[in-house]
Amino acid sequence: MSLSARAALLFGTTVWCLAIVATPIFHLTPLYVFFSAICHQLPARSWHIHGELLAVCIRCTAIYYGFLAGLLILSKPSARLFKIAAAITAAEWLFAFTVFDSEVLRALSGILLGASAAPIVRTGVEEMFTRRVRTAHESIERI
Amino acid sequence: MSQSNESEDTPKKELDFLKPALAGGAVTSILTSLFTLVSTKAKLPALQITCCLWLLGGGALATYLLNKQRPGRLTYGDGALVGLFSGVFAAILGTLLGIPIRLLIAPELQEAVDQFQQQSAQMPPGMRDMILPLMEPGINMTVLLIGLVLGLIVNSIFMTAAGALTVALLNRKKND
Repeated sequence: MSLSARAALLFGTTVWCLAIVATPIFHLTPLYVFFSAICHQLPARSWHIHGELLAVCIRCTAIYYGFLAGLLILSKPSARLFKIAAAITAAEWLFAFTVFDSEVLRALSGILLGASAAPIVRTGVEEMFTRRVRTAHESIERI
Repeated sequence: MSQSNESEDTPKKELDFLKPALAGGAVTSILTSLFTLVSTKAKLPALQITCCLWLLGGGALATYLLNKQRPGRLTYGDGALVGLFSGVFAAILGTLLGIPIRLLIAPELQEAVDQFQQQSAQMPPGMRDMILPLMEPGINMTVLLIGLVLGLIVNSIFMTAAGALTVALLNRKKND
């Protein structure tokens, strides 16, 4: 069950990341509408492919691709690494707001945040599924 | 996942997921609805910069409330589960709250429809015909259903992640 939860998360994340890039390439307007629920999609804060916006902004793109990389590369969850990444992202946001806004810094902090979050979310999803299966087995045994 | 000796020796009290999940879902759906109303009425699309913060905040709130039942001993799975539940509640409540909101922003929706019709001349007719009815002002069962399904997908994903990540921020010092 744990393995299938892991595979489902990896598959879902891969599809999500591909959709971000596929949206401008194939002019998938419904996907722009879908992603508009979770991202501002401001042109000035987004990357473009062939003159068209990616489905989400630079920070979101970096977080999602970082998350995918984290799922593939990192095995053990680290709360400390996630806290550091969150602090760096917050600091970058404050720095961009007050001093200098840099696409590169935004992307790097996003990748770090996404990558550090991935093993934690994966562990959470695995534990959640394991818990549900265990509860279901116990209920069946009681019956 | 290894737990501390203390948690292995003492029997764990069953966690009540319902109340924290309801609270997280309610806060998310109310804030999202209010935000939609204010940003549309005030014509301030720049407010959209907050994007998915309400979702993450709702999942985090649900986990924070759950953590009060078992301080410092939640697993990532507990956080993910309460986040998932709050995401489902947020989608249902958000759909219900969306009904009066759509009535309140009917003039702005009509403006958006007119603007879309002008800008979508080069769009394939099939796609235009698919999107236009969804933008029409007023209450439409198809729109509500699509909103509910999208809400269930997006809220569940983001709030599950927020739940697990909040556990990391709150109390996973011993195990990592």
